[in-house]
Amino acid sequence: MNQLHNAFTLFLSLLVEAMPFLLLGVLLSSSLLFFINEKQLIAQLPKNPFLGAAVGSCVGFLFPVCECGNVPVARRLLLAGVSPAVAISFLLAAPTINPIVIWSTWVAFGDRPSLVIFRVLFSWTIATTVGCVFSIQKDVRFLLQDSFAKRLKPVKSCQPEPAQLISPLLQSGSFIIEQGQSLPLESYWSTTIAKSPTLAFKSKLQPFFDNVIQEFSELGGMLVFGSAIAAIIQVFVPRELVLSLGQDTTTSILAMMLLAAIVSICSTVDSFFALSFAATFTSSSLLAFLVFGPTIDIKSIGLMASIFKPKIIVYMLTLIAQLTFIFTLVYSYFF
Amino acid sequence: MNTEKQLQPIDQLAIALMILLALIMGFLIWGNNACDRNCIFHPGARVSAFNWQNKTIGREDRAFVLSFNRPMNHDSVEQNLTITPPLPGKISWSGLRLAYTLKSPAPYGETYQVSLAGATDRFSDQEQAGTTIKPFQGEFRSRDRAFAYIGTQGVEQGKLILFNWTQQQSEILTPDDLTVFDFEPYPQGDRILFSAADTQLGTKGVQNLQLYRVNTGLNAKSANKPQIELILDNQQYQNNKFDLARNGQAIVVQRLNRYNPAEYGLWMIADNQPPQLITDGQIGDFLIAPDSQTVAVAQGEGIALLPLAADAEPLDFLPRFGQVLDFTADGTGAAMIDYNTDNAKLRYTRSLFYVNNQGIQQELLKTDGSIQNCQFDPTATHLYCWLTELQQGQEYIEKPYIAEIDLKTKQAKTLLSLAEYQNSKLSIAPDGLGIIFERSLSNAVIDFESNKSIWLLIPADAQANSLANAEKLPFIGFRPQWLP
Repeated sequence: MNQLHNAFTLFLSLLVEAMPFLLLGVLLSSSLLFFINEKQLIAQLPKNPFLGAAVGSCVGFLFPVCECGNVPVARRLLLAGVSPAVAISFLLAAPTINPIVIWSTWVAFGDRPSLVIFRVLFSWTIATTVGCVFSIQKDVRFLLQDSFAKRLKPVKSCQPEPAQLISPLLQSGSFIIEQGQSLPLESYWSTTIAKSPTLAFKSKLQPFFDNVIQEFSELGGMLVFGSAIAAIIQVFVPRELVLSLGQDTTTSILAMMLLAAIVSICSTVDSFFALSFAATFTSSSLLAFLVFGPTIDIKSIGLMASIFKPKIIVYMLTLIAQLTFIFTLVYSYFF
Repeated sequence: MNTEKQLQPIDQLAIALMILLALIMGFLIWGNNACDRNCIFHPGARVSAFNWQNKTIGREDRAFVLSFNRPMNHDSVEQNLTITPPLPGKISWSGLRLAYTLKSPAPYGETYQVSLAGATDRFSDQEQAGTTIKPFQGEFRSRDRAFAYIGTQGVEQGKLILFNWTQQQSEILTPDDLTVFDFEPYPQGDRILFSAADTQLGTKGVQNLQLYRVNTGLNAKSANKPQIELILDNQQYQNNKFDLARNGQAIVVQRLNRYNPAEYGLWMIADNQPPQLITDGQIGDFLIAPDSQTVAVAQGEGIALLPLAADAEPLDFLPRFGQVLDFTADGTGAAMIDYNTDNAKLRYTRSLFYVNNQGIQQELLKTDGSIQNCQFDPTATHLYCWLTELQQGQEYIEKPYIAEIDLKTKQAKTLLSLAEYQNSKLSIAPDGLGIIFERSLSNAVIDFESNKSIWLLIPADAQANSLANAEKLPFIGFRPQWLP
């Protein structure tokens, strides 16, 4: 009974911590949809996979949200037709490479500047590398959940693809017929309304809120599910047990990575959480916690599952874990 | 469906990459286990930072910090940490950092080696012995021991002389055309502030003092010649006494308007800005507090504490005391004189008080002689004073002596008595080595500055059971002061 109570407390605390960020992310995502011209956005982004991933990793500076908030934004970028290299590197890097997180890390570990610098550097490198890896897949739909991939189609058709490849008659979804042309609903909003200054601001506001509610309810459900799983695991696998695994350089890195995944703490505050282990763990294991935690945790896996196929999440998780381990172990040679 | 069709490019690349990374991980883990203590890629415990590495420390540096890259076995570190030559101190821990606080300032003019080998790390719940630390060797040095004085003989006459005790080198810092009257070293000992007048003015020089600054070249990486810089001229004002703040950023000068003798007050020069008037009230002796923010001024029937700011209003007023002699280095305590003016029975006596920021005012001694000057030792456990005692008899004769007062027991001990009256100012070495002072040459009846030599007094060491030992140094001059 006591364990159930603990699990519920942990569940609520994870939700209370993450919900405002999710809402912020959804608001940002909806703003992207209605107030930013997607075609221009895509045109501005580099076509080269490496450059695209490198830029995507730095977009977090514009959207300072934690990992639960950037999932809706990444979804929106993918829907807008942005390359997976950009979207995935943004998804992985934005929780760390943003002003709030860098500042909070500095406040917590100002006496160890190398931790702050290498947190940013390693996160950026990992996000860019993984982004580049996923850019090899030309058919993006293979990466995505079937339900999500279906929503991608109409938007993709707006891009200057050869018309003969996809017949307009075979497309699914809602369409608006204007001036003899049929336009997918989402594309209509982003292209026509966003560009039209004559349309009243109020007329943009209604679909904006509709989208906020739709995304929030969809992702909120995933967040509740992810938080519940994270809370249950924390109760049955106590932190003390995880921490006791760290008995040398290698195992303490692994223990802190495992802890990061289990506690699912938001990247904006995780530095202060890690600070409580500063006296008992190696600098490299703290760095592993700070690099791995924001990219992969149980709570955000739930959210990521709303976009990617499970197999893709496993690839991502494995590559990130391996890179984090290698980088932080090498870091331990020097610091 | 065949396998090739199922495997998308992402599958192929991701799997290949995962295998490659797994191999790298395996290699690194194998390397970790195979690597010994002296391996370049040492994955184990090491000292990640030492804040005194290759640093020159002074009296204000009282603790160094060793940072480790992982939790350490505290006992093993404490047992294996060595400092050569030994520096007594105590160890405290804060997370992965070890702080070593010196019991007293490190003796000057030494190079110290800090080494740590054989200590082990310790993770939580670890039962077996941890891995051994990568041997660490650090080094720092203390400043050169040096003092300055105003020479009185031959080419040294009227000039500021620096004697570097560590290197046994003497140097004249000021030019022939300046006669130095007083000086005060900057906190790092790299520069000296002094008041001087044109040599041709002779005795009138005291009314025409200007403030200058000269670099000593002490503790500098490369030798440089002394360079004089004018800080305050005497065009409109006559400059009298001055004091330099402990942070070296503010100078307080007592000044008199040459054209309006009624305009007399305390001025402040901060960060090379034009002088600003602090107060134009009736003021006496003054001393800047160690915080470098306030100045204690004898004003009226007490001591006013004024902030170092233009047109300052007193922060506090101590009506009981007439003079501040010295502050402790941390600014928490002060030695003050009570002239006992409010008690008719004690008239013509003076009391030496220790006053601290807890509100404690303790009388250390009462004398019918005079209290010339006092200085705290660097650890503020003792107070050393130049005092006089009144000889019983028809004639009024004051006999000077140097006293050591234990601030814990309040016991005063005479270290040295002199037969003839003379004035002197004590200067205690920043590392507590000894006291230097000026003393009239033997058999001199009159206390002239021109016939004074410099003496070193090494107080008795209670633990070593030694007696106080005064020795004459081979320097003729006055106002000797140790450099910080």
